[in-house]
Amino acid sequence: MTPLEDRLRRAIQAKASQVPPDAVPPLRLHARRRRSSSLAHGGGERSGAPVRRGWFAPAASAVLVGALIAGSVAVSHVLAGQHRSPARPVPVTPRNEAAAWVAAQVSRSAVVSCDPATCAALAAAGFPGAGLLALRPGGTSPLDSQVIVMTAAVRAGLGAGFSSRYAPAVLASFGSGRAQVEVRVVAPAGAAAYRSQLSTDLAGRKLVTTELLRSPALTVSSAARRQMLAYRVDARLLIIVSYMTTVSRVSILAFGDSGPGAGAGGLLRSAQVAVASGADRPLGPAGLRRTISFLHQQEPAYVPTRVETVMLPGGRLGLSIEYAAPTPLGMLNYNS
Amino acid sequence: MKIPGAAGARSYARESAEDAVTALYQANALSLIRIAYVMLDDLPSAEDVVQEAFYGLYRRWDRLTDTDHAIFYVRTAVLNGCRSALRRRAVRRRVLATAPVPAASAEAEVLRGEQREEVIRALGRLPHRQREAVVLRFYLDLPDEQIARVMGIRPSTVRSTVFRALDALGRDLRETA
Repeated sequence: MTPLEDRLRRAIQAKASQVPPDAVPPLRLHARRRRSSSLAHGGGERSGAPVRRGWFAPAASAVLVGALIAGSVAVSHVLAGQHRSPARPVPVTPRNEAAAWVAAQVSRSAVVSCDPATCAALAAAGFPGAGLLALRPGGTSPLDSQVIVMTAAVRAGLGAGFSSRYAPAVLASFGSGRAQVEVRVVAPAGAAAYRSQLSTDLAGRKLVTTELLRSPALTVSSAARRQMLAYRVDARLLIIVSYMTTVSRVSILAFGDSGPGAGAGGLLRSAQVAVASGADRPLGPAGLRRTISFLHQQEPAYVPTRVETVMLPGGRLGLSIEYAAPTPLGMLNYNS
Repeated sequence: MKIPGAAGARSYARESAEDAVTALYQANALSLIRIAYVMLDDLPSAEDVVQEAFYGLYRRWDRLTDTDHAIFYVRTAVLNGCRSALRRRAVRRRVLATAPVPAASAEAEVLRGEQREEVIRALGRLPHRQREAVVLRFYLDLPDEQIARVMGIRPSTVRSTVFRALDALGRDLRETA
């Protein structure tokens, strides 16, 4: 044996020994979908290959841990509700609904244009005052903001054509007729440039979605699959799930948080996911905390606005991951 | 490396497919996961590839003409699975070319170790076929005939492939030294 062969053998043995003997997961022969691909072509690695199913947590510990987390989640929701509850009931109007939606869904670093009354409603709903741009005749242009709340007053002030020229994408819509309030994305470079960016973003989302659905480390519910194949999932969410599958098994139950009445620019920015280890063991509270920490370690643009442990349908523990609106475009480099 | 021999494999045929595949898995899963891990540098993916290979064997068991050769089918499936995983990874890298590289989890860091061996990096730069031949030769210690069978090539091609791989590795390691 030559020195190179000896060095090579030692290196491969050392690398292989990083997999400890107890790392072998149990063989799963039944909890899989049938498929037509043959072994000679590489088992499950082809398009449409089955993904891992089933989460085999010991029932007793799952029930116990689940009960504990359910309690903590319930308590946190109660506390959050107490914190957010206004002192007086807010009348349900399209303006107030829009204000509540913006306060809950729009990035705190975004600048939001609004008429003075809506800005006041937004501030009352908890949106930071520094991010509000009150529109007045002769005042600052709404093109300096990222989001605009289009009320009747704003439509009258900016003219009927403003939306189609500079705010083509609807994030959420409340009410109808003259009372309708729309939350729109501002496109300073114009609607055509925005649509072009959106089209490029869509192409990237299609490619990443296709690749992601082939991942053996990803399981998706039928509802989530439909949402993914509509290509309306936020690029940040696709990317972060893609990275999660490199270290864990991920099961997506559903996507959400597209605003009511949202158009093509209103993407699905949240997901409920179950996470399991490489050995297909569902992560418990400690493992989920590590996953949350992993998510917080990413580049700022990919750190979720909110990520928390939740109780998923069926009693499993999981994560709720959410990004703020509006979805930044151009995060995927699509080379056709 | 202990692999059930012909007598062992024949006894599998008398048992149910599940028992046979499970026995084969228990005897070989660790070494196959380790091979896939050397190829992919990612333990969850390596486990997946091996699980899929055995699942494929299980589904095909009744159609196998010679169950003595089940291990060859599994090894071939693992190699094919690794190739596909690497292809997917390449596509993902291309798509996400402008996205920042994510920070690795603490677990992944531990698995990867603080410093990746230079030899393993050089191994990763080899073409798929050369890398597979080298790993089968220097990790499983398989003879050329068995490597040829697993890879679907001739024994003489195995020898030339390993020769070229060693030559490339030697040059690569000298250049990076």
